[in-house]
Amino acid sequence: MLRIRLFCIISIFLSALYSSRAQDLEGLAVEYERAVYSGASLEEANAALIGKARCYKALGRYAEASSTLARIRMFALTPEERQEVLFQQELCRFMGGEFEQAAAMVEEVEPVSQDVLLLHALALAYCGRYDESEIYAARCISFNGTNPRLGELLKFYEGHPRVKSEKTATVLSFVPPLAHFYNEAYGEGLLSAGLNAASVGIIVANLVGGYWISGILGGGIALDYTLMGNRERNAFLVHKNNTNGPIAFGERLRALLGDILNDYD
Amino acid sequence: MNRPLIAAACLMLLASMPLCAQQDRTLMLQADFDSLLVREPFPEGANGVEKAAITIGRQLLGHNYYNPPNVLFLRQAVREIGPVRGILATSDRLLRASKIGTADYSLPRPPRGIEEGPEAYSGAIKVPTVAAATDSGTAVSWNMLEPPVRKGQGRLQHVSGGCQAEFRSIAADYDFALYLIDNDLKRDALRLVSSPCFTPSDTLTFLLGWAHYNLKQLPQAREYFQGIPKGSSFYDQSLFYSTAVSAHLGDFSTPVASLTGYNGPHTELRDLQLSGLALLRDDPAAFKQASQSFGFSDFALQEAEHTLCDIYNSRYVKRAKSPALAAIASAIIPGSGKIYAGKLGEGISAFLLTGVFGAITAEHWVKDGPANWKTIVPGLLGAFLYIGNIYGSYMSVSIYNSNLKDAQDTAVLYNIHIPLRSVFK
Repeated sequence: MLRIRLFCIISIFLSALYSSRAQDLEGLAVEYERAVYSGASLEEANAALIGKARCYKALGRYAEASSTLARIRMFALTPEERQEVLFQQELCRFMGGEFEQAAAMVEEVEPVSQDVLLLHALALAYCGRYDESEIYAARCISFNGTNPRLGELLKFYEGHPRVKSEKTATVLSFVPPLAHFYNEAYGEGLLSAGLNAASVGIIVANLVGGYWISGILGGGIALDYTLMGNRERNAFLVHKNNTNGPIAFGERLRALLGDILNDYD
Repeated sequence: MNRPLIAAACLMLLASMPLCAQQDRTLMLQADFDSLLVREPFPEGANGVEKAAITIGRQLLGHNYYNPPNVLFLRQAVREIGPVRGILATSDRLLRASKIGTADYSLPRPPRGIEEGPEAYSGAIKVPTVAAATDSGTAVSWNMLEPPVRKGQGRLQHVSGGCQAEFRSIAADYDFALYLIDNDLKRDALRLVSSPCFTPSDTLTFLLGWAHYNLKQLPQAREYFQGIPKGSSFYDQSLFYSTAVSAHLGDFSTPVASLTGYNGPHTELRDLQLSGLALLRDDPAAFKQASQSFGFSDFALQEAEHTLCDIYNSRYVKRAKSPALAAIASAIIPGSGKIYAGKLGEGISAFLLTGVFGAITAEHWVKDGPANWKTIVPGLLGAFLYIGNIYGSYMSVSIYNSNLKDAQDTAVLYNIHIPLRSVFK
């Protein structure tokens, strides 16, 4: 029985080795899965899953890499190995654009290296948690001692985008164009204000002229479109700002940190 | 002696992957997240006036409820279904494009809207679909098929493929392949069975079909299923699955010949599929003939048999809604035809807008007379919306009937497909 198992493991190893030499990462991933399927021990299965996740990562299939890492039985790993697996999982989630999930892992992954700190800083920045991100970014660049560009980094964080509140935008939208200005859409704000003024003008002109039905119904419908449209539009602009702001900030942060770390290296 | 060797093998395996070793920092610093940004580009081909109209429309409505936006829809509709119908269709769309008008749909977060072009009014009706439902991630729907297999792919490739090791039988990997598929590792399964190192066999062909089928690559799955010869232990399963797959691909006639010649142990399943295909072909006589053997007693099939009979009754026994009646209803009370067609929100929206224009016109008619511009302008706009609503109500019932048939066809496809899982468990 032992001989058969040993034979199977060696066959898998040779097959996987052949696949890796042939740059066939998909085939290699299958062979790793075969090791798990063949009833490998806990340690062997974990090693195979780590290998498989690496293949997926190299192929740019981060979601699959992350789900493969999630299958690893952590209790069979040493604390150092567990940290490495968790770091890779956070990294794969970040690379896959799942920023919230990546940021949720920050507490689990101990900041033992500069790369871990960098990842924490980026994951938190991309989901809008700037204060926490700032701490990790500062620790990242100061990992090997005080960094002369720390001040520059802290100043950069002062300019982080503010999270827009949908409630505030809704309240402000009843006084056009304040909500647009709140959302930094100045041109659109002026257009919206003009349209709302025209609606009010229709109501007033009709009422003054004695056209009560036209004033109330016609003007009312026009005002409904302009005012409610204004509200809807600003709800969308809040969503747009709150999605794009952290990503744009994260892009700039990446460039800055890359620059600082390059200088430092 | 076993344990250290295995550990050494695993270590060597991990160490033998220089390709996989990536610089994590470089990866983080060079990632591309551009596709995650929310953007509002103007539709391709929009001119300056149309862009201005779309910008104003966004301020009035908050966002575009329909794609393409109304102003582009007008241009497309005039070109595709003619100027008169195009203008009427646009006026109907103007009535519908509001929060009340779209209350019947669960809209995704803007700026995505309901995808609906002029074809909705052209007779060659397309079921309106919500954009978010089709572009969420990498999920592949039944309709998002890969192109058909090129000649030369498939079994022949395995004979002449680039295997540099010895050819071997798939039999030893059969259980492993099924394990991969059952554990949602379908791409791995396809990678495994696509290896050029397996000798061609019915088992390999079946597994290739099964892997493609599970990846929803239906044309390829059908080709492999149909390649299983009679007498193979996989023949029955392949026959019924290839029928279901063919039906999903819109081929309702080809499988009939194979099924008619089948005399195996699953004759009731055969009749279930034949009756489903008859409904899909709109052939009530063939349905009646095939459904005669329904026993309604097999646990795996009885629900599907009942459903097919219900669909037959509702399609050929009950009367469909009348587009003419909807048009007349909307002519008497604007919006009522839409409500008759099952579009409550659109009906209320149409009633309110045409009603307001009617009231304004009436007021000016009384105070200023019929020849005054204050009467003519709202009167013309109201008439435009009123006629558009009548036309839209007529078309809504046509769309409703077409949607009903589509929903029934989907139910038929489901019911000739799902029992296979139980029968061939």
